Amino acid sequence: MDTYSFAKSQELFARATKVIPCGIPGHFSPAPLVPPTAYPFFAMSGTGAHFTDVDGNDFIDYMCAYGPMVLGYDNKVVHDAAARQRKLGDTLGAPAPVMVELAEKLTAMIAGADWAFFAKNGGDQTNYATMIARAATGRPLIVAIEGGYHGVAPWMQGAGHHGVIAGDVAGFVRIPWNDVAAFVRVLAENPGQIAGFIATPYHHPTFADSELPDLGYWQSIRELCDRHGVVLIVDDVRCGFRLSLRGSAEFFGFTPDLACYCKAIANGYPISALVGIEALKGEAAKVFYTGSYWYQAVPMAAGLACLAELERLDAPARMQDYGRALTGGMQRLADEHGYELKVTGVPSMPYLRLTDDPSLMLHQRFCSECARRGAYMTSHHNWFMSCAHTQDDLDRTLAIVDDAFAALEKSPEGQGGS
Amino acid sequence: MSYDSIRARLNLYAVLPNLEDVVRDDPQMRALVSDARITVKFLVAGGPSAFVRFVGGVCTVGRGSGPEAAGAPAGSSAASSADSSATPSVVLSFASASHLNKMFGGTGSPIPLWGFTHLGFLKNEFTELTDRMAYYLAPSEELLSHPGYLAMNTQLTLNTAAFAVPVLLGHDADCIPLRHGLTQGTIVIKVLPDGPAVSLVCGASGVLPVKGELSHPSALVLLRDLPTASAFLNGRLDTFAAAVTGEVQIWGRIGMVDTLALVLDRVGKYLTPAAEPAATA
Ligand SMILES: Cc1ncc(COP(=O)(O)O)c(C=O)c1O
Repeated sequence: MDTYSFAKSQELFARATKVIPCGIPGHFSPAPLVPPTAYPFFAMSGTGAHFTDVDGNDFIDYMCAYGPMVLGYDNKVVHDAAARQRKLGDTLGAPAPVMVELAEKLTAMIAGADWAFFAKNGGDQTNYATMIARAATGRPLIVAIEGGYHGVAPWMQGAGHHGVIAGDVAGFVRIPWNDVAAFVRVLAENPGQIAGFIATPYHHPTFADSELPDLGYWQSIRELCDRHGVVLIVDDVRCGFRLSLRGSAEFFGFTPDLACYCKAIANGYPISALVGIEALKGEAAKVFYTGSYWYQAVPMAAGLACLAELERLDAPARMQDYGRALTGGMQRLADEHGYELKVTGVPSMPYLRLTDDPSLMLHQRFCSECARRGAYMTSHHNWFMSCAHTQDDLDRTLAIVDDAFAALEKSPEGQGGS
Repeated sequence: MSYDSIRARLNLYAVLPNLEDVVRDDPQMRALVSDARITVKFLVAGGPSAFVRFVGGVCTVGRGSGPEAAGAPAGSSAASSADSSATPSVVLSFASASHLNKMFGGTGSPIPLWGFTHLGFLKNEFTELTDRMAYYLAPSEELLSHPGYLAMNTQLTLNTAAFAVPVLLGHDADCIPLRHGLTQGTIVIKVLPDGPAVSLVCGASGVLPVKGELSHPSALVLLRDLPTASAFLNGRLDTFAAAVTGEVQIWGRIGMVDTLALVLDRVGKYLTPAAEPAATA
């Protein structure tokens, strides 16, 4: 099988480093792509489940822009809705009616949601949620999970990271995932001090296996929050609408007080949402929170269209099915080649890891061999399925995976210096 | 912990161990101490201590007061004259961490507590040796253009960085919260093709730096060659760009390397050649 080269990506990156800190900063940084020389850095265009890089290489995309792409790139239904709104206006002198329609849609869709508030990024909403929890309870502390990702505000990054001071994280207590006893302990040690509990529906750290909630975990957390008057916040930014269209909390059988959405709302148009229960609407209203582009109408129209499409397609089931077929097929191939491929998380957002090498170097080589052959997979992060992945994509991916395993076998010691 | 106390620990635990390399790899220095049989002890009042031992042309640096000489004064820690490695000692006492730091900065002298009969070694060989180490650790562009100097500077700077990690994780307020990111597995930093290399063994009880390359690393940082390594260690390389072009290759548990980088970013607060305790002045 032919492998790709990335001369233009490298060239553009060299230019980028001169004028942009890091070249490509943040989650799109090539740094965790190992080795970076096996990956594209810049995309030119996208259609369906594919994108084309600046060197003209075509990829079946299993990162889906880290979540926002859920219906496929260049989706006509969403683009048409956005275009209609753009004709009317986007950032205008007042919000457009579509804002109300989108709030009505989300509250109708998501279990337990009585209101919705819009911003741009996931981190806007996870931060807002903690402010509402503090405002509503008059208490200072928020309990979060060790290794849980909620965005890039100082409190989300944690002490020791550049630009973060001790005071930024002083109002947060981190406990291990799936550890009800730890939450009980924190509640006991800080009586009347805990405002909120924030966590993702299941634990999906980078560089490590995903962990689903233990049986009864969320129900215990819900019960403890009720007993102690703590606001229960679910960060559904990444999982939202890939597990259930009624929210991932519904998928795991509980109802949060606040839930944050972002990635899959509008198929790549910039918008995020916080939804909440009636009892917190007044408090949400009291917390002043806004942004220059938060009333942009085009992404709202795109969101309405995207959500309707997700319903029409029964999107979560579709993505779960594809994810199961993909990961099952990959595990079979791994087995045939003498490797063990572990799959964790939910099938629509699987995290994969070759267990034969705990250092991840073998897995990094495997993913890079897939990327070089046109299946865009990263080794450090969960992948994302979309509604646009087809049977042809699946067949092609499995052929690539087969060839990538064969390449690993040919040079078993190729890690590190190669 | 105060700026000066942390800096004193870095001087004793991260900089001083480079004497081992200077004695081993600089033939002139090896010859200088080939006959020495002595332990030089650094004691900071109410603070850290370290020893530098010379036996059979080999220099060993360690934490604490090290093996005792026969006839150590009463009350000094365990005078184990039975220890075959015991050597005569000279003790350098420092009134404070800042006193020690001044000496490392070349602007202060210690008070020899006892071992007066060995003052000649201190004044001559030991001073020449520490001056040589300081020379290797203060590069200029001109010096770095000599391959031999480049190699030594790179090796010593790499050692210093690695041995600074446990000190900073233990005491620097910005680094203490990062401990949980370095709890399992070994990180190897290696200059290609043949070294130098250092390994950081991370375990629940902390990070143990080891000179050289250990096998089965959890994470690998590979520096393309000596000039790349030198630029990397002396802060003259755009590491983000270098990681992408392959000048610096990072493999394995990259999360550990990210955490390590956050710690190493703080070394310069204490150990740049002109470091003054501006923050606490
Ligand atoms: C679970 C989770 N929460 C919050 C965020 C932050 O979202 P954003 O990057 O849009 O601010 C992310 C982003 O990846 C996420 O995965």
